[in-house]
Amino acid sequence: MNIAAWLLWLVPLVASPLVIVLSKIGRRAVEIFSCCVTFISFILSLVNSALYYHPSVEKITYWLPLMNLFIDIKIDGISTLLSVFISFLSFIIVLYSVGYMSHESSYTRYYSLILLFIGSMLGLIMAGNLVQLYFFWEMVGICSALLIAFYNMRESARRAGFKAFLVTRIGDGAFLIAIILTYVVAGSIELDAAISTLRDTSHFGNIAWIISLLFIIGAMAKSAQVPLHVWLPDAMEGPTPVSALIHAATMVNAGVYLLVRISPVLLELPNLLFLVQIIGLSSLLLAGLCAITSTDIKRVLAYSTISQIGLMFYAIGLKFWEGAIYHLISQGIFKALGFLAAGAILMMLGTGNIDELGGLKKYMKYTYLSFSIAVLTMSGFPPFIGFWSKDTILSKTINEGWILTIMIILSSLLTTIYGFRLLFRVFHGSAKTQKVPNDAPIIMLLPMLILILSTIASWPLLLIQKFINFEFTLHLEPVTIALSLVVLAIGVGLTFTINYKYKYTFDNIIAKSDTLLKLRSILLQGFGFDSIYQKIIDNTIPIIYNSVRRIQTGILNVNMTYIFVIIIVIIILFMGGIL
Amino acid sequence: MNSWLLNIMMICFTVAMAVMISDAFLVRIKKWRLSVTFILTAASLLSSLTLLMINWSDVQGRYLFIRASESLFSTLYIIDSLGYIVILLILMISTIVVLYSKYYIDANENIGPYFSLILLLAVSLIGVVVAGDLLVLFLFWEAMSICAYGLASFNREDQLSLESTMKYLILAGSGSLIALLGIGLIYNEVGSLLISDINSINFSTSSIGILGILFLLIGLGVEIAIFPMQTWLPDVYASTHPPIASLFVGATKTTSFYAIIKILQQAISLDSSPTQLSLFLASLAILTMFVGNFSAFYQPNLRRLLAFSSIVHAGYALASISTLSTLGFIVGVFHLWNYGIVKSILFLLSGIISKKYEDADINRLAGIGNKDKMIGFLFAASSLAMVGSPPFGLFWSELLIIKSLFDAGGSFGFMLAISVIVNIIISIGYYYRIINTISLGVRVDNVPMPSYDRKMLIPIFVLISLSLTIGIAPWILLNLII
Repeated sequence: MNIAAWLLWLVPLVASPLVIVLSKIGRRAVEIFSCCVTFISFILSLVNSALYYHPSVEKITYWLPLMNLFIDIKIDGISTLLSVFISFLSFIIVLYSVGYMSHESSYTRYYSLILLFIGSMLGLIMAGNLVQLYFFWEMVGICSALLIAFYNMRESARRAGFKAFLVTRIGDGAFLIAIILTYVVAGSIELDAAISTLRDTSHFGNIAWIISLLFIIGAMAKSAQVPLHVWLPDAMEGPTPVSALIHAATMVNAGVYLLVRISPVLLELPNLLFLVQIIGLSSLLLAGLCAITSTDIKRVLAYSTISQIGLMFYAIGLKFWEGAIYHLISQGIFKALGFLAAGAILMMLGTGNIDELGGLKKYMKYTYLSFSIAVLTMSGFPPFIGFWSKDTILSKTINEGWILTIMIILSSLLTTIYGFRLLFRVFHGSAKTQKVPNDAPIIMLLPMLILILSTIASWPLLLIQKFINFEFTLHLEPVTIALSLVVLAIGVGLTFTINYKYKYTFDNIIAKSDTLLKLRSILLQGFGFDSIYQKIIDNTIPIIYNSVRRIQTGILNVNMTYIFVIIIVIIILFMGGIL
Repeated sequence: MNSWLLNIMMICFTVAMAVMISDAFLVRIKKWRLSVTFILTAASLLSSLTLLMINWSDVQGRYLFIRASESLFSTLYIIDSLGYIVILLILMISTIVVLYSKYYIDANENIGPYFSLILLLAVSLIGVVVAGDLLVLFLFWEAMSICAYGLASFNREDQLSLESTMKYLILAGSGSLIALLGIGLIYNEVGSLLISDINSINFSTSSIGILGILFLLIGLGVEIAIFPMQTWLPDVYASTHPPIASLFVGATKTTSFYAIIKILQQAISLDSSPTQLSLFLASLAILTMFVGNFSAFYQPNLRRLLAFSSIVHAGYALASISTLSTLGFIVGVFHLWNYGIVKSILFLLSGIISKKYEDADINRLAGIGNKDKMIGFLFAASSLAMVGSPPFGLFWSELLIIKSLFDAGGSFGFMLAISVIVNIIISIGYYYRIINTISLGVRVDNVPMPSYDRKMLIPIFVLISLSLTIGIAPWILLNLII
């Protein structure tokens, strides 16, 4: 039995309630404890990866008799690799939290929830059966919603928590039906057995198609893909380390993980693969467009996350899930780095609005360095990891036809534009606040430094080769490299001109044109998804509520009449031979 | 009948009488009155619980295995593993309510009848569970109703409480009459009152016995508040003392469901499966869920909201029962078990924060969780549990309900499963409102948090740990049944 593989997720889970006990000793005890727990979890995941040599499933106990369910874990390349990645980021971000959350009085709630989240997230990755995966899938959702509403004095934070919980639960409903249908059809809930039975699509006909579709809906909601993406931009109400860990690097990737797991089934269903591709592409482009108008740093990064996950969905749709995993790791690292740098700005200046920021380069040198590397990586600048992971997907796309290639290139252009827009507006130009900020404390800079080091070169490739697929190599065509460099240059040039150097001229042009203003407001409202959903809710639930409420009259005569009506209905049905 | 079961009933019944008598003597000695009645009641319930638990091996895994011929009394009294866990829940919730009431109830109130009625309710509920004969079932059912009326109207000062009890009495009374009519019709067809003889009713030919079963189901259905007989429930739950509401929701409701299951599991042991009956119950289940859910959606009063939500859960349980399968029955009871525990927590919490009916407006309770972190945590945890989140027991029961519906097969099972999932999602709308307002909200006015005895939290902690235990290790309970 591989003890490390069990302990790496059980340790944070057990540690979570202990935080409440430790808080009696003091803040420092809780901080040290949380860092130690995440570090131990990271070490355990390294031990697990060192011990890994072939895929296996380990069971401990009977969990649910009626479904023949065991508590088990699946140790294979994907789970081993991702557990190392997640526990590494968790440790880094908990370390950063020590600085970022140093003035928060509700630190007990924060650390216990974040440890619960880390344990559940690792549990999700290691789960050997679908029900266990769903159990932790729900747990991470709860932690995410409660952490989004961490600043609970703000109405907007509470609403955002609710929205995240509700929207992801809609997807979870689909996921649950898919799991139970899988059990009914395949007779097993074990990942391997269920997937291999489902793969035999000719045998089960349409049912495998329906099940896979439901899995895709579940993945969409969790990974914030269009049209179920509306919760993620609002989720930025939470503390920045939470945004970095949960809403950029780990939980939102759970959908991608799920699709990778069911990809053997998807390979047999070309029209669903096409659907995944469409979902990915639309998220990639729509979120990219929203990101170029948004004025809040964290919101831009959130849209960017939706867009980058869109690229992963697209890669899965191309039957290139190794590329999706590659980009998952690289996105997790550069996005976490971006968020951590944004958190430093937010902590020092109290605002994340780019209209109120500027010229921070002088005062926050290290944060500037971190953010620029995050932006360069995000835009796909060589030799950072973003370049390698994006270009492997782009190289694969070129063989698929010019329409897809243009779309992916366009998305790269958008990424460059919104990334550099943030960089120019926040760090360059003249300072707009009277406040002279200091750089972040060392405890926050250290995690950023570690992440900067991890963005260099294409190291995840070696891990993917070692753990997942020996034959996976980089196929970078000279054309793609040239293309991406040209796109980069155009993007940087455009952003520099429109958003920085001649910003006022272009702002005037926009202000004079009704069409451009309208376009900007559509983009600022995120294509109006929110208002459409709100309208649907406003036009249905109050009406049903008011009509249903009339049933509850409180008048005894009416209530008695109901009973007589049901008796008469029964008698009629009985006499009619229906019952 | 297993003698330990008789002992449990006798202990509770005798102590109920003893409590009443001792209270009459102690009425002048105020200092002793509450302590003596409380200790007597709690001791009897705890010893009954112990007696029940040490005899678990008698029934473990013996669902539907104990047949009428096994012992002398068994024509009148039967118990199997499903009934066992219902009795376990009855005694547990009663004990919790008694422990909580010690700190909740005013020593000047009529505490003797209060505690003895709780004990008598427990006895009659156990009677309903073990009854093997329709007449015995009916007698215990009536005894249960009388205790319930007494307890529901215990808040004598409150006009609303009296009014709602009156409504309860009339509606549940007519329900009992309909059930009696049903029993009469069944007797007419079968010529016997034994529940085990119901299986001789032929479903393939439209016989009068089927009408009898339907009337019996409708009559019992008033107590579990199936649509359209649910109207009394919000009024009673909202106006009675919260511990009593939690007793109703935890013990009475589950027992009433179990009575229906007992009849149905006999009725379906035939070759022809009664699809129409299944469809009829399923449509009632769907209506019950939707009506309950939408009524709760914007409900400002916390206790009314909880009451409407209990209608919704009756709908879920009815949905799984409507499959008329063994799995459906087990899952229905398993769900009510988990649900009863968590809903009791919510009612007990509402009792802590608002002793008075008028103060149960959610918006006025905003931010209480900020003032008192423990209350805030408990509200958040139990609200999350109610929408089927892990790691609480309801996660498993809702998962199993969906499974039992899919197992039933066909488009009918699929439709019901979708309805259950849609309703769970709708219920997030109002349960998350509890979290966002009470646990996380901001106090609007500076009304201080009502003071309460911290010991009242102990029974609540016991219940939430129980729900957590079932959530992490559901096999503990399920292995008892099958």
